[in-house]
Amino acid sequence: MPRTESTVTPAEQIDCGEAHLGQLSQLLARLYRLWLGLALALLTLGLVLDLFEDSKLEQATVPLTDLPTALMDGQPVALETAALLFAALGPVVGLLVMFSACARHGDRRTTALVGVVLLVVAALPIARLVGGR
Amino acid sequence: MEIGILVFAAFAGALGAMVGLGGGVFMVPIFSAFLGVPIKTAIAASGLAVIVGSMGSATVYLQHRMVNLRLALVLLIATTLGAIGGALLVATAPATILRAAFALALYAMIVLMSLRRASAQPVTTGPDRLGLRSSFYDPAVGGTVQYVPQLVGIGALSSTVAGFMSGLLGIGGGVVQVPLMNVLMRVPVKAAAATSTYMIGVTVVGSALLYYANDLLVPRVAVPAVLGVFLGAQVGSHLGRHVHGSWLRRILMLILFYLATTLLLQALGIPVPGAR
Repeated sequence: MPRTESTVTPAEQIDCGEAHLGQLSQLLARLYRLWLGLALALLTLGLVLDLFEDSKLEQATVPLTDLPTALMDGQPVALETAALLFAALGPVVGLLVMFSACARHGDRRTTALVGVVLLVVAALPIARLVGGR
Repeated sequence: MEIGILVFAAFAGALGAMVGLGGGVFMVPIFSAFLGVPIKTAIAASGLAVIVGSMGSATVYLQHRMVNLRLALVLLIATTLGAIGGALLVATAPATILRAAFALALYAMIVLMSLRRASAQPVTTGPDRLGLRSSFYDPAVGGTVQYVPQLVGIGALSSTVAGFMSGLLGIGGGVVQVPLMNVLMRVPVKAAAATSTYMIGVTVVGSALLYYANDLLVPRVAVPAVLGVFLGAQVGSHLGRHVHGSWLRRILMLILFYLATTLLLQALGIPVPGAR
């Protein structure tokens, strides 16, 4: 995304209008498309290799600690696991990109909102672990 | 089984993308009741598929500027805070009473949504202290629709309560967010569905990583579910842009009715196939 600080007036720096949010939407759309494309390409590769190997999909993913080794060995299930994890992290990467873009643009309100969203989204799985669901 | 998962996931992805739901409300019961997938595996696979479906359809909605990003952020905070509270209290909550209360709230939403005046006409003027005003081009009406979300404070508070209930009962947030935005906040149903679609992906990430950490993600189920939902979401999001808003509301009301009835039956102790 091009740097836009020089074109923004001080009033706009406090809060962006629809134009900037529109640019942000386009940026997120491109990011999601690229991210999903990579994840699905990896998933499809794993799927094809898995089906060639034994004509069926696996019953368990590879644990995170073994994932680098399994990937180096070219195990199809490792590719599938990596693809699923990669896909799962997409929305968080989207939030991080939004945080960075809004901060660079000087949109304090949206930057703060994204920051709080990142915090509460990180807290939710911890609460689920504590609560037992 | 994999082909069945792929087909049902595609259907769930298409329907979910059109009305702004994750699709878990369809996938989990069908996978577990009709395809023989253990319920926890079905929930885990559906969770991951929901993220992919959300990203896939959000790509289309973001491209056409139908997602109200700032409203999504406000509601994400409110809903997730509620869900955190619900998740922490899950062990002590009276599930039967909550299910019945939630079912009644959903029935109330259906009634409100069926009153066309209450939900169909967006408000285009008035105060907008949080800068949530937005607009999008609606191909079905051939023009730009502008709106200013109303009653944002009450909407956020209701989202917190809805998040709390969904955290307790394990129900996805989309089923509550779309009617809330549409009925209470007067957001056009298409923008509400698009905004909810974007939000769902963010809210499910934490759970999906937990499913992986707890070895609940089974590639045999998750891989076809992810591929199916992605394909379905692509079709659904394009259809959702072109279908008239009133049809989307009707579809959503049917889904709400199904979910409300399921919750009510569970509250009355009547088993529902595939229900959590």
